[in-house]
Amino acid sequence: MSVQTVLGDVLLLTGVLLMLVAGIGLVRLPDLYNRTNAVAKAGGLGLVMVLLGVVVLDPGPAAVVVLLLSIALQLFTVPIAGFEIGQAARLSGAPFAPGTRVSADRAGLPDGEPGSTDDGDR
Amino acid sequence: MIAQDLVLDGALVLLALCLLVAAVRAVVGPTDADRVLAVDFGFLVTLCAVALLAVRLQTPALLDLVLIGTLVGFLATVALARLVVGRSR
Amino acid sequence: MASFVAVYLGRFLTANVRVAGQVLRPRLTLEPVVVDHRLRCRTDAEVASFVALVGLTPGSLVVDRRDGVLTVHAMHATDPADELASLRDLEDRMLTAWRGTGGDA
Repeated sequence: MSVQTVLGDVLLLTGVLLMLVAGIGLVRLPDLYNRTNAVAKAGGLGLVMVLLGVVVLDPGPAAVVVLLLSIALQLFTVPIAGFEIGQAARLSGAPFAPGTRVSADRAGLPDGEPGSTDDGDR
Repeated sequence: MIAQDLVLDGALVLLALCLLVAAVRAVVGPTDADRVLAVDFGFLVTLCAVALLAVRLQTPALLDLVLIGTLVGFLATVALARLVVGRSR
Repeated sequence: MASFVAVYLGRFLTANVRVAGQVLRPRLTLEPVVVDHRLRCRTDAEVASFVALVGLTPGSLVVDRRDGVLTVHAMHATDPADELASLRDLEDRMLTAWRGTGGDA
């Protein structure tokens, strides 16, 4: 086995193990907000590491371009998806886990004044 | 090459486990937002599995599927999240 | 700019390791906090990139944004003030990298 194969396999396995950790987190963590963090980890680092591993294993120039593009898109979209889910949870009134210290004014209020969420630059 | 195939097969089994976890969370999940999160995670795991399959079966064409899947998964998550918000009002 | 990328990468990786460690610990020792962070970013592009940077780091999650205030949920923080300080620090570094000057514009 060449160095290239070993490096690629190590990256692939690390990525898959990160996905597994995220799966464990999805079961164990107490509330939705904490679970979102676990999934952000799977998307942010797990999948990116797997794709980088495939890049290292060198499937050909065209495939490398596609892979790098999907890594960039992945890094771009993960935080947005997390933000959307977090906001959906807040607005639908998902409870925080007991023990959460809330030092924010409006946290936990599923307030729904129409038009207050699509704010522009003020 | 045999050793690498074994590694990849093991990784695919682990991913199948993750998918099971996501399914459980989607069924149990106390709130609808939890289900959206589970679907999002399931999408990520599937993409991961497709990328591994591309290596295992030596078919780089499968990698195009990863690119499209990234976009579709993101759109699905955002649309579902908005749906949850809309229904709870 | 390059130094910001390096700092953020370090932050991102340590956050990943920390979250993984917390998930795998036999007994969960989470100390979640929710804090309000008053944004000093002015343009939409700055706000968007700050939200993306915070959201990409595992362990911190932007829950809401309204009237220039960002509500952030952090998974493990010994002190809400510490969490706020670290958010402030990240924002400072980001604005310095984007504008080439300090935060208060």
